Amino acid sequence: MTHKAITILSTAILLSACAESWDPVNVDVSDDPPALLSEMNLLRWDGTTFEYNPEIVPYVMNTPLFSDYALKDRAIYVPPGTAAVYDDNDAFDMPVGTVLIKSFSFPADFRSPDEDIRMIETRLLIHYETGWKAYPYIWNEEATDAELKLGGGTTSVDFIDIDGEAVNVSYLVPQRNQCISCHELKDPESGDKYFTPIGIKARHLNRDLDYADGTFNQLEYLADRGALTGLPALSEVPRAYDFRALDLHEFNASAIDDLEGAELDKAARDYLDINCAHCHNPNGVNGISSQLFLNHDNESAFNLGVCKKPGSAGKGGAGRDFDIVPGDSYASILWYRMDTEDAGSMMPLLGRYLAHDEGVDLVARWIDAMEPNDCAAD
Amino acid sequence: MRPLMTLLTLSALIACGDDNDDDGTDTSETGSVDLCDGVDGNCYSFGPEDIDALFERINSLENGDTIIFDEGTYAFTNEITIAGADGITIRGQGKNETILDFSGMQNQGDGIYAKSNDFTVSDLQVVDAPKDGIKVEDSSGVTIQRVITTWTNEQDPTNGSYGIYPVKVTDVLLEDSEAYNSSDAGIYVGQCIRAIVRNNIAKGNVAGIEIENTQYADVYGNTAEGNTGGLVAFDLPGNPVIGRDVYIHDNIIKDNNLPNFAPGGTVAQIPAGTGTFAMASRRVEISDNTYENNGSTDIAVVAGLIIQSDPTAWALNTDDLIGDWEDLELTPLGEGVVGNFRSYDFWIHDNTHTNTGTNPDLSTDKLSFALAAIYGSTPIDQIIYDGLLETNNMLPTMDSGDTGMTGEPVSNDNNICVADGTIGNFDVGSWDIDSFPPVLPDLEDLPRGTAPYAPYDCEGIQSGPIPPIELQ
Repeated sequence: MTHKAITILSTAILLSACAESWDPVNVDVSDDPPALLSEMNLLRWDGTTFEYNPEIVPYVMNTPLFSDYALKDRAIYVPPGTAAVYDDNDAFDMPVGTVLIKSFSFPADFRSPDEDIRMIETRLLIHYETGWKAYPYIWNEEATDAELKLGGGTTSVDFIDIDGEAVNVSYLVPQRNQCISCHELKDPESGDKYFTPIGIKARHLNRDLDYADGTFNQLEYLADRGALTGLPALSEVPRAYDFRALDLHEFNASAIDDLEGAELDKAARDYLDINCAHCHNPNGVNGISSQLFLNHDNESAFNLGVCKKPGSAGKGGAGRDFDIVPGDSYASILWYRMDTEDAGSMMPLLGRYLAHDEGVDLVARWIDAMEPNDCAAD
Repeated sequence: MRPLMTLLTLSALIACGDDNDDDGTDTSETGSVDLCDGVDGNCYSFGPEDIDALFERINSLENGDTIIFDEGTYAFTNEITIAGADGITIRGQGKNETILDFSGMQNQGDGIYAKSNDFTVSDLQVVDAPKDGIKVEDSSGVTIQRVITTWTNEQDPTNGSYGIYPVKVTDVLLEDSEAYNSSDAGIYVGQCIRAIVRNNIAKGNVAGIEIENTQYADVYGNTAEGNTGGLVAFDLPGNPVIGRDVYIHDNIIKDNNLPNFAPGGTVAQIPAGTGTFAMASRRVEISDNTYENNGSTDIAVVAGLIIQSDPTAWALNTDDLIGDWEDLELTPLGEGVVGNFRSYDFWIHDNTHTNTGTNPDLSTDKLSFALAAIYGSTPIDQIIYDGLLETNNMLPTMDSGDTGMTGEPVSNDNNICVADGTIGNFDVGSWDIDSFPPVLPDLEDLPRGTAPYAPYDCEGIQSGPIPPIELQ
């Protein structure tokens, strides 16, 4: 199963050059957002491509989060005259009024991914004076507009995968309260919980993108527009594994099989980071109990899961004893919980109905390449 | 009124930025009987046809809101997630009258998940949740009353993990509730500080009632019947809340002989037929309980090394520890590092034991296999203790090897005080639990006796009582 999100995204961005006129973005941070997405003048969907308001900048991630193979279009609105502040590691400090926009869609057939696209939802993260708030908008059947639906919903999605197989997904649009599942962290000092964006970090954005006006590094593009301050020389900016190197969206077994050594480690760790570490990090409200920390900069092999028995994994292990059994992916709970489609056992908790076969293969190869150790007590 | 519900709630929602309903008025739109009568603060009621409106409402909660479910069966396809506001109350019309059915939910999730201080859920039933029935996490001041969590199929390893699951909660009252058929623990109190668990029923689960890494728990008046293990208390390795002061009394713990159907996890190691399993625990009082027909044993006191034999896996930095631990005699594992695998300071008294240990689990589970093999046709003792981490715990007939043991009688450094019942020290310290089949001692070599039996006769040791617990 593979798909071609990159192609679609590039097409969408190029076409945005042909924009008709736009009214200014209409985001009022003294109030909840309007019932209809169109009232905010953020974007238009013409049935094939997104067109963003010129005040908005699209972006892509070096290592994307898997969400049931949905195609994703991401963009950021930073209010004119304000700027986000660069940080090496954490999400940028973004001004009040910033809006992060992420839209989810499925083509009818991933072999023709730019035709018959079904728009499902657009999620907004809006930065209020009091912090970030999340708003799910669900598109109508004609995809002419999307309606604010705080309660989210489930919808059945059918598509043909890249191998020509029919696939059905029970796709979940998270209700607003479920957004904390990924976006809430706990300050280790004060114990206070706070809501944070995930993707707007240096390491995720540090790559090129084809914009309407040329190809630029995404961070430099934002900085040039005045939307980002404090950006150091690119040579000093961290960079997550660029999954284009794996041809992720033509992601195939041989590309994964060719990975070795440090590159394999980085690819797998960055995959785990974006897919798991929003909870599985030392400040993650839900990850703390497990003591399994999959953030890319965790340096403890035990907390990475090596020969580590789970905490309260419940049935999640299916008879397996350790999170990672080096050299034996099949015996590893980490692999199992990524591979299974059992609704009570699979990880991540949210946003997955299908297994991400290619991600599972990558993590399996990473575990299998470790120095074998059966984890038996000596 | 049902068809109007969605529209009304939506329009209220759209208006909510500039028109708060904070005057305490009742904004219920439910028909003839007003379910919100007498409720302080904002109250919203819903029937089985109002699920869309319900989800809009619970995703725009304000502090102090009350959500009331009418009678009936509700078919949900997503979790009921409560977050973003405190003081929320969710109430049905009775644990057999308001049925929240999650069997049609295809995505991952619990039945009810709440992260909300001063949260109350009561008078409803959660059926067939994919993950946990009712989970309340990282909150303080939680009340769970008169609820049922269940799964339709008995002994099904694909059932959800936990029925009623307060975790990382400070001050929780869990009472008058019932939990059935979970593939892990029916009632699971995990990593909580101050918990009262009383007058509940747990049946058909792997573990009936489980108190894990919890400080100050008063567990009484419960019935744990027909589970694999009845009522268990333990610490898991690596968890920063070190369990202590667990008072288990006046419970009925019987017929816990269900074959273990856990698909994994720590509870998969609980032998069928176990009444109470206490592992890696300290300051535990077990009294005035009625134990009946538990086929393996009534009370097993064991060190955590039985599930994780590597002490370093139990290492905890004292800087990370939560709650009260400084007065506990934790095992030092280095500078600023302690381990909580030892079980010590137990006071076991005034329990009644009927027909214990006559039907031990003969599965290949290591512990149960060992017990069954050691005792043979002799009923297993009512209370068994592994004697692990005693200074002296060596059977005279055994080769001390490099264990450093002297062949002296059990020293009881762990302060295990047993006032009545028969005790068997099954001496796991002298055989290798990790080898299978293990080399087992002969029954006649085991230190066994009837209380008061030295060294467990409570002479000169302080293992209780556990002081009363008051929620804050």
